[in-house]
Amino acid sequence: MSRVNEVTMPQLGETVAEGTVTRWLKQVGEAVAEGEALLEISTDKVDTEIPAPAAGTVLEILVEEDATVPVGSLLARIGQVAAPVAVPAMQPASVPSAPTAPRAAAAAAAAAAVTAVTAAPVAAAAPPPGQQRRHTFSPRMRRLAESTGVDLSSVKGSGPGGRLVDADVLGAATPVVAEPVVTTAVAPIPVVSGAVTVLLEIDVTHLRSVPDPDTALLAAVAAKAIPALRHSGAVSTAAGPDLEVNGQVIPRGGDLTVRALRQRIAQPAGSSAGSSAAAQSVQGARVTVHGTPTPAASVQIPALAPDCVCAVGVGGVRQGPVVIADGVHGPVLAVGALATIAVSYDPAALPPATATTYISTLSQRLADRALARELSD
Amino acid sequence: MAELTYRDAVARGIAQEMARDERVVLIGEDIAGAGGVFKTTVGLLERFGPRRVVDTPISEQAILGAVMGAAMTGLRPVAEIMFSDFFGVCWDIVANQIAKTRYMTDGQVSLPLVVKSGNGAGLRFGAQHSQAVENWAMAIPGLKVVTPSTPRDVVGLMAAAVRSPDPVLFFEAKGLYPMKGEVPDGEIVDELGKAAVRRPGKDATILALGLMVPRALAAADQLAARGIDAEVIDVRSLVPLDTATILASVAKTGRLFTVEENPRLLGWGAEIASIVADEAFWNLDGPVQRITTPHVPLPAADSLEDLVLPSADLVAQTVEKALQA
Repeated sequence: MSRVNEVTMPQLGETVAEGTVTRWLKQVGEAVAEGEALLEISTDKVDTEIPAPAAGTVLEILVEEDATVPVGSLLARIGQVAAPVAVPAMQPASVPSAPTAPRAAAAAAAAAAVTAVTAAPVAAAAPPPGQQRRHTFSPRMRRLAESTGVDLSSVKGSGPGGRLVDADVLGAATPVVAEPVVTTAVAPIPVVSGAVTVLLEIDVTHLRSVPDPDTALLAAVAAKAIPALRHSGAVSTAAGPDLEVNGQVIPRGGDLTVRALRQRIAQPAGSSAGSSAAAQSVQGARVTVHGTPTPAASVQIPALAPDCVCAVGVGGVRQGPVVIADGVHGPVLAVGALATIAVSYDPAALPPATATTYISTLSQRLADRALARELSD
Repeated sequence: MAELTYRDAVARGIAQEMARDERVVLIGEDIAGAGGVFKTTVGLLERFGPRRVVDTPISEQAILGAVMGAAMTGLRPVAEIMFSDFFGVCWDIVANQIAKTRYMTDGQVSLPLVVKSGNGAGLRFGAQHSQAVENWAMAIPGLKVVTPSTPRDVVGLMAAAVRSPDPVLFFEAKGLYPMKGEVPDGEIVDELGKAAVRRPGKDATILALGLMVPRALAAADQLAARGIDAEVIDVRSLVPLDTATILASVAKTGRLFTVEENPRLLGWGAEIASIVADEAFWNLDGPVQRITTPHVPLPAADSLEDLVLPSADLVAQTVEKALQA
């Protein structure tokens, strides 16, 4: 006689009352080993795989993907019947009872039949090598997904062993034609009086090795330096991982690499997740970065809105005179690459010492040769 | 441009600084008349004379006590501790005195001294003469710690160490003494705290130090043949540590591997793994993996020493396995 095992929604934490089936890893008719992952579920607390409680064939799937059901709900049945599947109610009758002695032999024969029946479909259903679906994603890919709104499970990896790389995810982010931004156009933004603007001219000659060092690149570095403001209570929340660049919120942008953030900035409106994020505003005191493409020699000085403690404006990269150290003859003047960055802040809201920390962090990062290396191929 | 061995480069670096600054002196066991047991100080006695190149009795404490006093009173001494394992008898003066003098005198007394030492394995010297002990040193605040991996870097980092206003422990990879490399003519001065990208790559970052650098490069060649483009970074200086270069590389590749000669527990790679987890967690595309000597005293037998030290094959296999996972 064959035994049917029921799979139910488990209790994953004391306060969890329900769970969502995110994906079935086995379909009706497929064989499953005891402990093998059967489905993926998602709860308020945790996303996890549910193992099969016993070996057998998936007889029935009772909850569809994306459906949310209470803890304890019946999700599936697993049994030992060879054929035909999906008739669990008739199971006891379909398997003839046998005396004790031959039972083992009969069970072995039934198991062999199951193997024979299921082997072919399973083999056919298995994805080709290198295209296996990934069940977990690295921190890097998760942040990139949050920032771009890309569903990682739909992206094919091009890295070693079929791994996802940044370019796969950034390439999958579908640019949406941005709606005209009306919020800023409706009324002139009130401007903080007494705001201070500091202009920084930074030698970025070493970035000439980077293809097309543009405002998006400088804006990415400027945005990633914002956590340098963390020590000020005024901007504690603004120093979180969400960034506001060119009027758009980039979720978790602070955790992206400079390269990925640059690409994200250059490709303004992302997919649906990105757009909905843009509708939110950064909580707490705002720090914004403006780095829209500009003529090379220009400087962008951002106006400081009242709810902003600091606004950073990034200009283009231009040729200009730079001083290079020379051990033999002393300092020498040469033609290098320069960029001007404007940092506007409200001294009443942001201590000047904190602003200075940000400014020096930003200049250091832009001047550091490690930046060019990070961006090199 | 001249081709020098690593061991000759040590003498070249010291000579460069002794010729430049008469306050630089050299002191140690068998470093003068014998030219060093590893022949790293050949010719210095002849060139600079017995007042500046001084042999001592077999007493590491006396050597370091002397250089501490010399540094306090205006010289810029270089001391040799023949085998870095012998720091075991030196820690009171190194850890409690030399490392803390600037701090405890509120900056009134600094100690511009260098302690150079043959370090690590590869020569079948057994458990007491083969240890890689950089991580002992980097655990003590107040010391700088460097390990060159090429003849050129031996000269440049020695110069930087001698010119440092504070004590530097200079670990020479014994296994690299016969290594030859091009060394430019003229003065070479590096900056402490700068790592060197020895091989650029995009798929994985491999950090290595000293004897492990050539092995990491050989591993990268093997990996390239299998379609994996690894970046190899020579850490060069553990204190100060060039986190900017390391973090930039991790941001690029998303994967970090450390290749450490030291036994596993509390090796320098553990500290870097901690820094990367703290500052670049969201740039990581997989776990940081450390490739180290197991936590055992080093065996003397050739076959066993080869077995426990990280090899190019082991590095390549570990990286490939991790990237294909």
